[in-house]
Amino acid sequence: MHYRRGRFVLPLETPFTLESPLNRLALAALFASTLAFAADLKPAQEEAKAKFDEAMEEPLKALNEKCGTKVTVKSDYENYKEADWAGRSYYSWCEPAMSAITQMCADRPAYKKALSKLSGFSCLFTGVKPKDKKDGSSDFTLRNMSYEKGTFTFRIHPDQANVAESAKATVEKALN
Amino acid sequence: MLPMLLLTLAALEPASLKVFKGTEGQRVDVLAVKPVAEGRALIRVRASGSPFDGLVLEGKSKDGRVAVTYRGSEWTVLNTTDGRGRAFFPEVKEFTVKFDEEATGQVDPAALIADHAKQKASGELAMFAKKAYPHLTRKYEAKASAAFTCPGSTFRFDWASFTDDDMDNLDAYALCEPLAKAKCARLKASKVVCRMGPAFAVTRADDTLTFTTTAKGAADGASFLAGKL
Repeated sequence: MHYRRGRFVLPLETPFTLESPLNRLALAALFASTLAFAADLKPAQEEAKAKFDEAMEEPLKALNEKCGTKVTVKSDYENYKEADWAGRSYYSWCEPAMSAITQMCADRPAYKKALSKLSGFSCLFTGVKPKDKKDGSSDFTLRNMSYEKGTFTFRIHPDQANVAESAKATVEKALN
Repeated sequence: MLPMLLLTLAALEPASLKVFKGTEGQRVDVLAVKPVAEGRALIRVRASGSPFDGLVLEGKSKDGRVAVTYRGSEWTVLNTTDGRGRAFFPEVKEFTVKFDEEATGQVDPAALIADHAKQKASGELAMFAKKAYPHLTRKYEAKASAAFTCPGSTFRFDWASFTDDDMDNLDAYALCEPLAKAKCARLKASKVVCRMGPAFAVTRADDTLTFTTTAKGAADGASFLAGKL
């Protein structure tokens, strides 16, 4: 299950009452999904998710402002392992990548236009393509970044370096 | 608590002491403890403006560098060469220090060890070393606040008693919920505390009731409390 940043919004014109069977159904579904989500995460993962949400709030706001987008952030907290990231803030891998894209929009109108199609930003713990002995300083990072169909995906690992430069290179390669 | 204090005191034997002074009146006391080969040291900072001034932390010392565990990670607090160097305590700007022979002679190693033992027993040192769980502690405290409705009484978690492993893997509120939902008339205390421990227990001291819960608190805590309250 993936967490998606977003809000459950009811149209203002539609008064929300439990008398409506549809509303009762919608409310039940909302609670069911919330409970299922909570049950899936261990406390350490829940704490990690909260810290991630807080840390990414400002960078996400900046991204949407500069790029004119309504990007949602996705991560797979159920795969977060505290031991793998002990002493590290894993959002410090995601934030520079997002900020690099924000900067691209701020620097060049052509990039802003192209990146207006950006709709998703994923920072994932699973599916990391392994490091190779011949890797240069950025290869391991670049191998785990992609920009496809409007979604930037970064599969993160503590050994990755040069995140911001790699994110910019990944997006530039996809756009050109 | 006294036997534990004595045990800790007995376990630490001073080897050598050095006091460093900062340029703005800060003081850093470093006491190497025996056996020296293990590199164990007690370190205390004072007058630095850090919220941790006065804590006697236990750390590892090697080649003039002293590191402690802060918020679950290794943290270098002092780095010196030939009696000069820099101190890096959490939440305060790093500062320059210099060895001070006169100040060194004024510190009693036994008193330093005694302060360390007291702080260890009170849980102050554990709170320094433990990881921070702002989201989970807020969430659990909010749940307890909603569940605990005894007028004139307060409920709190003894967070120092929950290890990082407990916090990472267990729902602390669920373990304490039997206490938070206990009948007010049976509590008979103005302060109600839930702590984590190896076995269920209920203790009363002054006007405080303390429930020691375990990893089985959610399942078995209520029946244990029913027999004790």
